[in-house]
Amino acid sequence: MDPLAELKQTFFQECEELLGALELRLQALDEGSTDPEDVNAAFRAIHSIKGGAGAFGCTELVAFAHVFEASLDHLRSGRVALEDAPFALFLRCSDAVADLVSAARNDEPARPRPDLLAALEQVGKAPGAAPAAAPPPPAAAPAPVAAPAPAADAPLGVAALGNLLAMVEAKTASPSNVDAGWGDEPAKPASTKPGRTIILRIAPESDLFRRVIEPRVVFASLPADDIVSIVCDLGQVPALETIDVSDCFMRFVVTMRTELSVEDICSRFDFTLATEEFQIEVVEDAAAAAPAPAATAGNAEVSGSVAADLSAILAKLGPASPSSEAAEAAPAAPVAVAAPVTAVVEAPAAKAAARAPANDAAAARQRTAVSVRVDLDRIDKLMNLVGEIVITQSMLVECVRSLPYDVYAKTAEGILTLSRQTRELQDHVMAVRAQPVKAVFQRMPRLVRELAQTLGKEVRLVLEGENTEVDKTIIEELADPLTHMIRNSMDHGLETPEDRIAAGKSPEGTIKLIAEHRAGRIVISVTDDGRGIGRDRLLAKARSRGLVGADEKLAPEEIDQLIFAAGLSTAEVISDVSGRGVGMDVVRRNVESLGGRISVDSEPGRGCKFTLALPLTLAVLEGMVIRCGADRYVIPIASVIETQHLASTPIEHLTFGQEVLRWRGEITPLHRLGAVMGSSGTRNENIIIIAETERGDNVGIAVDEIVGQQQVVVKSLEGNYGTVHGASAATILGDGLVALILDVDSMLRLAATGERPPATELKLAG
Amino acid sequence: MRILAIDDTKTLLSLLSLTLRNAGHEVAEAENGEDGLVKFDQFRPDLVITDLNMPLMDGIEFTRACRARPAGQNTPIIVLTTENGAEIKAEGRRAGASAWMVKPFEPNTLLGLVARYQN
Repeated sequence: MDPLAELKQTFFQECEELLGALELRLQALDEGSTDPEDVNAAFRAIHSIKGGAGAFGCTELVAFAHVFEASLDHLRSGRVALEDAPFALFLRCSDAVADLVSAARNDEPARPRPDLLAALEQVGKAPGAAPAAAPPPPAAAPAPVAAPAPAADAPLGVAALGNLLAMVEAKTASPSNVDAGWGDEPAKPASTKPGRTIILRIAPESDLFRRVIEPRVVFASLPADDIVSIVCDLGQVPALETIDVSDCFMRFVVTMRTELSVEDICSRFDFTLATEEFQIEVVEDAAAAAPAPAATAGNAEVSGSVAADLSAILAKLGPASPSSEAAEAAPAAPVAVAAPVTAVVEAPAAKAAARAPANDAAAARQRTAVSVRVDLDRIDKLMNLVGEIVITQSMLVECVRSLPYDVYAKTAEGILTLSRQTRELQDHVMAVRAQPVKAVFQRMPRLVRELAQTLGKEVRLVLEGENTEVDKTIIEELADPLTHMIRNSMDHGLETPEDRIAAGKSPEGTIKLIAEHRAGRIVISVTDDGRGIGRDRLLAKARSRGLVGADEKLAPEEIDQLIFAAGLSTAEVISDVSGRGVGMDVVRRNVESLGGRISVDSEPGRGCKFTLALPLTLAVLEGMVIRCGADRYVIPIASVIETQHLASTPIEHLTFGQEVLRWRGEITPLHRLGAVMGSSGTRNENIIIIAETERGDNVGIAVDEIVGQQQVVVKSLEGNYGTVHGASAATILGDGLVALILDVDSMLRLAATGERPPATELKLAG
Repeated sequence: MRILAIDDTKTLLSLLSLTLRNAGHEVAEAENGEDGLVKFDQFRPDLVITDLNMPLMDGIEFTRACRARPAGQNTPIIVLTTENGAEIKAEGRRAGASAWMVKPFEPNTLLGLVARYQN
């Protein structure tokens, strides 16, 4: 990839983070925060987006961001009080910026937002009026308004930037010509050029050199061809004893023959010279302009070869250089006689001003967390390596057992320390991979805002536990299910404001998104205070689809679970938002494929709560190592409910050969793992493991022996080998042999179909 | 020329260095004013291009601090920023900035401005 494209990618990545920060800060402000850092951070975020967007030529984004930034600046400067600020508008604008960013990223045409721009322009103009002036929702603002080109909608942004660019371009058109213009070439006769004569009187403030601006840089702002003459007035130079070479005492009179407007000339001195530092006199009559203005005593007329000399002197003099060159140039002009000066010049005012921001900077330092951006790939490699160390360490333990006692004791001690350190290392690497769920939660407020608008509902989203950390791999998988769940709650769960009022509730519905750690898992719940699951309708639908028998009786909780059944949507109207019938069943499948679980609790009329439980990581797993014949397997501890001796368990046979056992009064099917998985060697089943399936059913699995319980590093089978029925992944045990990690549900399907996995081929030493 | 480029947006900073390096300049990068001062002392640039809004130490503070040290008195400082207000410009001027250029920058324009300080 060429470096520019690569940079562009990085920019878009940064944009994501900046957008997140922007939204978060705006939200905090919307909720009443008065921390100036929230305002500053929001401003900085949009400012950085704008800067980057400009560098990559994303004009629409720049134009929008510019106007947005300008309105945020009103907050920063205090022109608009925080309590008057239209944060709802700002939040919508931050959404619009996100759209523009993604449009730019995908090279798609951006949707113009004249409505938002117009509203933004109002911010600061009529304090307090801005929120009222908020435009209609985008869905209701159709094409006609959006017709003009985006650039035209943002005169502030594009036009202003364009002017400045033009200005700097003109300045730099051909720097080398500048010297030639008033050096080697004789000045062109004024009358031969079209235009009018302009006399510029330049009296720079004495700090010109301290800003490291040489006079020639000032003149370089003007087109060299237009300059007729430059006269230097040295009348202000003080006596030699009192002279400070770091001060500029020169005055200049520039005669120009030009077509440039006065405004144009002014704009060319923008920043270099303040408006008080120069005067422009327009002489319409070309004849009157030819002679240079009357020279006062001490003036030196600069033209022809003299000009070249003086320009050289000025160039050397300019930066108040204490070099010997300046001394060498001394005979050429009296000004240059000045002795070398090394004084440190600092205006007292500048000192005082420097002090105040220094405190801010110290405060900012405390707030800024030190962080490093690391490629996930590298952490994965690290994680893998840690996994290997764990394996090596358990191999060492096995080897050491055969050593004579005196050697063994010492070595064992070392190995014990090693194993503790390895465990710690593993924890730390896991912690590096862990990220707060904030990354996903952050996207939800926007979703809710947009949906609320589309659906015409009033919704308040409450986020809790955003800092709950979970492995990066899980974070990535969370977005889809959460989006689905929230859509579902907003579309089907929450009522319209009118319905809510009729039901005696506040018109504004609440959705709570809560993340927490529970029993080594991350549990995320989406709770709404809507109407709850319509059980009658759901059951009727399930019956009509044949999912539930016509006379089958279901408990209320069982009916609720039907929401996860495929192809069931009870929404009266299939809407854009959700209810395409690929809703919660897909969520459930995805969640379960991650080793997670989803459940629902509903209270009619009061609301509904979806709970999502996921493992904290997909990289390591706490497992029970079991043996069956000559093979060993790992069952995720999360699936194991209980273990018991086979001998003490009465087993019954059903007519079609299925073995069952009675566990806590319930008939539970029993499968012999060795038979299902096709284990090699002689089997001698002693133990029954009662495991739980994803649906919450129990099953007995007969195995030969429980070897132990340990944390295993999950190695993907699909990536390295191929799909193995009955197993979700593999791991390498302490002796270097591969063991399959069982997936209880998949194993049960295998038992039902009778397909055998090619388990024996897997026993390649790892 | 030896140029010190200061910007807290990494992408922009890289883009800036890329532009300058392609034009044959030697570039040192800094991520904020504070970092800029450290790099200034190490690198001794002929010219500095600095952003304005940065954490830790902004461009104005940097310019002041730079002008306050002997080595920094003769180095042109170009402020490259999206800001274009009269007040902030006046502040930049008081701090001792030599030139002001508004982002986004057109590579050739920037190089032209830089060339003007090249002797």
